[in-house]
Amino acid sequence: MIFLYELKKILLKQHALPLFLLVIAVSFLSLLSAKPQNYGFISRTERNDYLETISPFEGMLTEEKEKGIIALKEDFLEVKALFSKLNQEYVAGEIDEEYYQQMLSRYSETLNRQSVIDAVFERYEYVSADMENRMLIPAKNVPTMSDVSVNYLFLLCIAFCCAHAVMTEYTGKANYILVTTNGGQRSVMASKVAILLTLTAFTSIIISAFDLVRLANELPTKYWNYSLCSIPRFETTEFSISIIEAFIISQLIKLLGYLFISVSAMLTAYYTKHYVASVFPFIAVPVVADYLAGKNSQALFLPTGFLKGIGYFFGDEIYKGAGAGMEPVIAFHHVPPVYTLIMAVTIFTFSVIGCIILIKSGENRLLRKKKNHRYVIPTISVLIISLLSTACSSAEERKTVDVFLCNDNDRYKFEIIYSDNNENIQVSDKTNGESFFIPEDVFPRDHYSVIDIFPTENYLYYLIGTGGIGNSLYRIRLSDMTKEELIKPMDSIPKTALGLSFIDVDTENRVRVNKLFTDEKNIFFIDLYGRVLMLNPFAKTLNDCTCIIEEDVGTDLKFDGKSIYYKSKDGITGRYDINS
Amino acid sequence: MKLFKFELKKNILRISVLLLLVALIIVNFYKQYETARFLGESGIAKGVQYKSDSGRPMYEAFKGEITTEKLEKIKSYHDKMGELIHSGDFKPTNESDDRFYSGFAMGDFNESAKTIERITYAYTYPNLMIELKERAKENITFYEGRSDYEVRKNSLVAGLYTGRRIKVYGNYGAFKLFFDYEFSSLVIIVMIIYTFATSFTNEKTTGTDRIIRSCHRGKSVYLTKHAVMLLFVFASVVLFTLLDVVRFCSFYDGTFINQPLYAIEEYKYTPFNVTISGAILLSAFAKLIALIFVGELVFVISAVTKNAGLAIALSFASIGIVIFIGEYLPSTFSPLSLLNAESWLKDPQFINILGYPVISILVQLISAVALTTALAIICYFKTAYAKKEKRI
Repeated sequence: MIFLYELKKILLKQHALPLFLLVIAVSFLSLLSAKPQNYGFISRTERNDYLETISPFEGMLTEEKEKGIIALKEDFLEVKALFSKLNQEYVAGEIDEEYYQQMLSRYSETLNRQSVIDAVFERYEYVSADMENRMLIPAKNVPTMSDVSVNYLFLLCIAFCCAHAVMTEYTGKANYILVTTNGGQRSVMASKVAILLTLTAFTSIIISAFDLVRLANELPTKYWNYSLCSIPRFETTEFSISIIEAFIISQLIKLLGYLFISVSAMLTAYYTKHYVASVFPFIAVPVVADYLAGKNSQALFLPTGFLKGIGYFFGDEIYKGAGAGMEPVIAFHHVPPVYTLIMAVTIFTFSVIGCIILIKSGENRLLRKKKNHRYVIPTISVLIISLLSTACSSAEERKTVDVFLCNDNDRYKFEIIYSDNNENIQVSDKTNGESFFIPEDVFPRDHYSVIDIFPTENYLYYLIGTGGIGNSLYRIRLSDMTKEELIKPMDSIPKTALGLSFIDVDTENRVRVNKLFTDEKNIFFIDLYGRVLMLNPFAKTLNDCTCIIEEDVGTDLKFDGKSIYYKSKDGITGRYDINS
Repeated sequence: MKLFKFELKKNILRISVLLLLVALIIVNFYKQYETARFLGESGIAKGVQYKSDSGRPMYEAFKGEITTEKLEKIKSYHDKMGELIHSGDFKPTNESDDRFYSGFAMGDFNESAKTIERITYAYTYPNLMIELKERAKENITFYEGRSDYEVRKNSLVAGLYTGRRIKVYGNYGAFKLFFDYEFSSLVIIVMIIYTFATSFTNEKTTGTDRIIRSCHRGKSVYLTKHAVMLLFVFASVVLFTLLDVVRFCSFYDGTFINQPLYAIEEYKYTPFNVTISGAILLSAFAKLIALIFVGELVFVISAVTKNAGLAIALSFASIGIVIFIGEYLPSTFSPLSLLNAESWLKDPQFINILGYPVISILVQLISAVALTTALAIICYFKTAYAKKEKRI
C-alpha cells in the first residue's frame, strides 16, 4: 500500500515521470538523428564497392586472405605505374591519341577504385600489425563504441528526483509523524529507494537499448563477436573480449554509475537536509571533470567516471612527436583494469550500504536501541579518499628498468622531416634535436615509399618499398653524401634463360620487411611476421636472407652492435649474439 | 548598505563558497598546465612537459627592440650554422656544446631560422598593411556605385590598418594560450550557480518574499541581490584573469604585454588597435558581460522556482541549452560566444546594419546586454513588482 502510494507520489506529484520520459524522448530523438555508418565513403556506389571488395577478407587474417589483399594492392600499383608510363609516352608523342584513349579506358576502372583499395589496404595494415588478436572489420570508426560523453540530462534528472523524494519528508515535517508509526518511515524510505533505483535502472536500460540500435546501425551484428581490438580506437586495449561483451559491460558500468549517483544524492539529502548539497556536487563534479580532462582519462578515475562507460576499455593513446626533439605525447592514459574492478566493487558496496543506511534510518527511533553509527561515514570517506589517491598514482606513467629502456644506442629515435614542399629533407635525432640534411637527389622525395631508415656512424641506410616492383636498399655516405645501391628492386634484375633475358616477378616468395638495422658489417631486417633476418654476403635481392630469430619479436628490439635483444610475444626477453 | 552587507554575507561570504573557490582555483591551475602541455608552443617553454626550452638562450639574446644590426647578426649566424652543418666535417652528436646557444649546431640552425622568420614578420608588417590597404582601395574603386555597404566596409578596413608598426621582437606564447582559454569561465559559471541559484528560491520556500513585498522592500532586495551578483562576477573575472595571465606568463614570457596585439602573428589582421594588455582588458570585459548574462539567467530561474534542487538542476540545464542553441545560431546572438576572446579578437568580422558595417563584437555585446536586461526585467516582475490592490 505504502509502495503504491509512494510510487504515485514520486511519479506524478514530484514530476519524476515526465522528467524521466523527457530523458527517454531526448535519447530517442538523438537516436533518430544519428548518422548511419558510411565507412568513409560519401557515395553509395563507392560504399557498396568497398563492402563487396572487403567482404572476402573479413574475420581472422589468414595467409590466403593476406595474399589476396596484397595482390589487390599490387595489381592496382602496377596499373598506376602503367598509367604513369602511358602518360609519359603520350606527352613525348610516342603513342597516338586513339591508343592513349583506348588504354586510358582500360586503366580507368582500376584507377577509379583507388580510395576503395586504399581503404581495404588500410584495414589490412591495421589487422596485420597484430594478426593473432585483431580481426578485419569494414568499419574504421564505430562512434557508439567510442562515445564517452555523459548524459547530463539524465544526470540532472536523477540528482533532482532522488534528492527531492527524500527532502520532501523533511520540508513537510512528515518525518516526525511517520517515525512514530509502526511501519513508520522505514517502509516509506524502503519504497522510495526501491522506486527511484528501479526508475533509474529502467531508464538506463532503455537508453542502453537505444545505444544498441545505434551500434547495429554502425556495425552490423555479424561483427559483434569479433575481438574488441579490431576497432582501431581500441588498438592498445588490455581487454581480450568481443565487441558486444565490451558494449554490455560498458552499459553495466554506466548503470552502476547512475545507481551510485542516485544513492549518493539520497544519502546526502538525508544527512544534510539541504538541496544545494544534495544536487549541486553530483552535477558540478562530472561537468568540471569532463572539461578538465578533455580527451584524457582523469575523469575516469573518479567514481563519476562510471557515467562514461566505454572509456574504461580504451588503451593508451600515444602521439609521436612531429618535430625534432619532441617526445611522444601520451594523450590518453588507460585506466588499469584492476582499478576499474576495485572501483566497481567499491561503488557497488557503497551503494548497497547506502541503501541499507537509508532504509534503517527510517526505523522508529523510540523503539530502537541506540547504536553508534558515527564511524560509518568516516569509514566510507576514508575508503573513497584512498580509492581516489590510488587513482592519482595509477595515472602516472609506470617506469620499469630494462635493457630496452636503458640502451644508449637507441637508433630508433631518428626520424625524417620533410619541409618546404619536400625540398628540404633532414634526418633528426628526436632525443636531442640534432639533425643533418640530405641532398634531395640522393633521397626519395616521396616519403610514403620509405619503409625505414637507420643512421650509423658513417652512413644513412634506407629501405624503399616500391609497390609492385619490390624493395630496395640504399645507403648514403654522410661524409660526401654519395648514394650506393645495396639491393636493387627485384624486377630490375634480369634473369636469363635460353639466351633470352626476362624480368621475373616472384611476388609469392618475396620477403617482406618493415624494419632494418645494421652495424655497417651485417644488415638485419624484421619481416612482416616479426622474424629477424640477416642479409647474406653478396646478396642481390632481399630474398637472399637467413632467418636468425624465428619467433615474432614485434618491433620492440634493441641492437648494440654485438647482440640483438628482443622480447618474444610471451614477454620473455631473449638475446642473440651475432658473433656466435 | 546594511542590506548589501547582509546579502553579501548570506550569498558570498560563506565557508562553503570560499572552499569551493579554493578547490576550483586548484583545478584551474592544473588545467592551465595541461593547456600549456598540449597546446603551448615549444622553444622557450619553462617547466612544461613535452615542451622544450632549448631556444630560450637565443631568444634572450635577440629579444627586444628590432634593429638592423640584430637582424644581420642572426642572419649571419644562421648562415654560419648552415655552412657548418653542410660541411663534410659535421657529425651528429648527442653531446652538448657551449659554443652554441642551444648546445647543438642543428638546434641553433633551426632556432635561428625561426627567429629570422619572426623578426622578419615584425619588420615587414607595415608592408603587409600597405598591401592590405591597397586591396581595400581597389575594392572601393570597384564597388563605387554598386554597393555602398562594401565601399564603407573597405574604407573602414583601410582606416583600421593605418599606422601599424611592430618595433619589438618577443615571444607571445602566453597570450595566445590566454585568449583561447575558456576553462576559467566554466569555473566562474559553476561558482555563480552554486552561489545564486537558490538566492530567490530560499525566500520563496520560507515565504520571506511575501513579507519583503508587503514591506515594500522588494525593489531594494532585488537591487541589492543584483549588486552582490555583479560584484561577485566582477571579482571572479578579475581574479581568474589575473591568475590565467600570470600562470601562462610563467611558462613563456610576459615581458611584452604592452606591445600591440597584432605583434602576435596569428592576430595580424585584428581589427583592434590596442596593446596586448588592452586586449586582455577587452576580453575580461566581454567575459564580464557574458557572465552577468549567466548570473541573470540563474536569477530568473531562481525567481520562478520554489524548489532549490530544481533551481540548481534547471540552471545547469539552461546553460547547457544556451550552449547548444549557440552552436546553431550566429555567434552574434549567442552571449556565451563572448567567453572565447580568440574568436572575435583574431579577424575582423563586420555586420551589415542599414548599409553600415559594424564590427560584430559590438553587436554581440549589445545583444548580450539586451538579453541580460530582458532577463533582469523578468526577474524584477517575478520578485520585486507588487501589484496595487484595487480598492472596492
